[in-house]
Amino acid sequence: MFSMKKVAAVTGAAAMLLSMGACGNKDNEAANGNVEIKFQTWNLKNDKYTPYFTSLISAYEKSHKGVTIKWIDQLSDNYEEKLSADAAANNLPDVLDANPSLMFGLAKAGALMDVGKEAPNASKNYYPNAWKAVTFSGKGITTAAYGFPWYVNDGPMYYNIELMKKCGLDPDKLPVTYDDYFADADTMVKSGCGAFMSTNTASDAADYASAGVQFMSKDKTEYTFNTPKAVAHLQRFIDLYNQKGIPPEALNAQWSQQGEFFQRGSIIAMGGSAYSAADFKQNSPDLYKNLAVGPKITDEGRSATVSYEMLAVNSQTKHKKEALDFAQFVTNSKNQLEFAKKSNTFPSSAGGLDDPYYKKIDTSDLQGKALAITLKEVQTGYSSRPPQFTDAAGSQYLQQQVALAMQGKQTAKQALDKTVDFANKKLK
Amino acid sequence: MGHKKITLGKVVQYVVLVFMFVLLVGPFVWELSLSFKGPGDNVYAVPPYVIPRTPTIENYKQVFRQVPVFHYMINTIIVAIIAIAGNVIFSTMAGYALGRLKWRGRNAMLALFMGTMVIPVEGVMISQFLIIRSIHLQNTLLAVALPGMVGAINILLMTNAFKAIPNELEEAAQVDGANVWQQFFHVCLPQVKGTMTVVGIFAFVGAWNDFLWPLIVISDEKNYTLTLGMNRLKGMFVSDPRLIAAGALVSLIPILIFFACFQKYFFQGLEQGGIKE
Repeated sequence: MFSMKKVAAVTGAAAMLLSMGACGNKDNEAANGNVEIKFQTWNLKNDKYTPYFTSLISAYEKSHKGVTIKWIDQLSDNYEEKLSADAAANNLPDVLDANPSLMFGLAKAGALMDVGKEAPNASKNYYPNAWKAVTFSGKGITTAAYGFPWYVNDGPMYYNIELMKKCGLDPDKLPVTYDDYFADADTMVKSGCGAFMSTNTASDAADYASAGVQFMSKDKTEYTFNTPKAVAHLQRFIDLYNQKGIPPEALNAQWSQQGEFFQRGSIIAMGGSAYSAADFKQNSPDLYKNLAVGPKITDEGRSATVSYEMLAVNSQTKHKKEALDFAQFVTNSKNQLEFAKKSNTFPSSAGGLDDPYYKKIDTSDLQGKALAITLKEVQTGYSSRPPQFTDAAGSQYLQQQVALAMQGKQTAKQALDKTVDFANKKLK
Repeated sequence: MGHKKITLGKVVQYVVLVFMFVLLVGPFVWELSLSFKGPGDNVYAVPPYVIPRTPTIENYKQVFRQVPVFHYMINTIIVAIIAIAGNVIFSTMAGYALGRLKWRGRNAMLALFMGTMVIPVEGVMISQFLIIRSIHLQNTLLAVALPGMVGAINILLMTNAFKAIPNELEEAAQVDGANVWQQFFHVCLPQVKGTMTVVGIFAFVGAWNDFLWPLIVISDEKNYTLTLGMNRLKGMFVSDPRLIAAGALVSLIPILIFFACFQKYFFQGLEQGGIKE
């Protein structure tokens, strides 16, 4: 019965469309000429997200006759190379998805539209911190918003309860500030339990910002993270390393390695994302039952590790109006919320975090707890990593210099001075 | 034969062999076991274990459901065939010209070819892409195969193989009245068959494993090669190593078949000598 009704409805709708098309055929063609917008996402075409995007696109096409959206999804690896090759060949899609760090180079090369200028009323539709994250400034770049904020990500610290107990730590009293963190690390080292605290080595912008260090000058013209405060902060990590509280592998750590270490049960704590809980549940079901979550370690009282994904518009697009409109459609509150709920990320659209969904997070399981902590972080936190501090322009260099300092080949001050010097030279 | 004495040398030999075996085969066995592990298995368990606790073939089913494996495999095979044909034909001809013919500028040409070997692919990728675009080949399988159609290393291999042929052989053919083409085809080519096979195998493996160039040049999913398609198994937020392991093994199967078929020639090529005295 149901399917009969459906068939009738579809036939009816088709007949109606056909007859409408027959009436106004000539006018329609002249008026819209069918605009095609290329919309590029990054690694979101799979079982989980494909249905979301197809229904999003068909909803848009239905309400915007004459506009078709061509969805392209790029693979996870080497996205930066793909973007720069496409930019060089003037082959970028009309609307594209990337993080600020990837977007910065494109914006500097003039490939991205100043959406603040082209859509002057848009900024009020997003949270101020999100808008700030998509606004780039500094040497060689015109200060502007180079895209619309999209999904937001942050996460709690995950703790291995069993390991904490073994090392004389109280899983009910998780560290909040760096003083707490290093006090716990001290207890752990003295207990001789053979574990490591975490793979954190103060080798990222957020590690300094969260300790109250001003990472970059306000106008983004120079780096400032070689202050005595920053040096003292790094020194604490060096001391912990010397006491064997940090695994040597961490000196060359990449994000994925940290996860493996944690899931092998060799480190007590790991800073993760809200969705890492799902990862642990899937890949380490035994450990999952044994985890606690707490807020990210910070002396500032707010998270410095919020990361914003953004949707930019190609500055060379032939369909400026439609591209701007569609990018705002994808990032509007309703559509962002739906995506955020699916992916355990958060919306950047104004008012998105006040949705009833976030009022009644079920905190009985780890995923819910992680989500609740992250919600608070996203509400008050910010992104401390300047978009120009890319892997090549300082981030990797900082890791290397910190590693050398840990091994005693140079002092903490030397490491930071050298990195600031290196990164400043990269600002042009 | 009676029983041999077990010498210290033999023991050391076998220890080294076993060590190499574990080193080379270990990761493969690990991937294999990982690909059969189910949701009840701890992927990063310490100590690691090989026999899955909750064995399943679900990962393989997922791979075939999420990735059009056969379609992408055919794409890769097309690319591989172009690459093999190009490399075998062109580097054999270039190798003959560089190794056996005498002409002005030969050494300069050889140096030029060798020079291209030290330029990293990443450095020329964008200009390659611009060229491909300007001849309207982007998004085609031909564009994927084109830059790899003749490799400098293969030319070097063939040049050396041709150089190793004794002069007497060609001189004898000359006396019999063979022209250069006949010398090339009937006299020299049979001597370097083994090296040609090696070149073919290198070209195949290179085409099979290439990721970055196909990624840059292909934007339409239906023209993806297998390595690109398998990258789909990586999630944006949460990734399943079991699924990735299953994908890796599926894309390994054709390589194994290829090697099994050609390994005879492969070793022939490696130990190829000159002519029988």
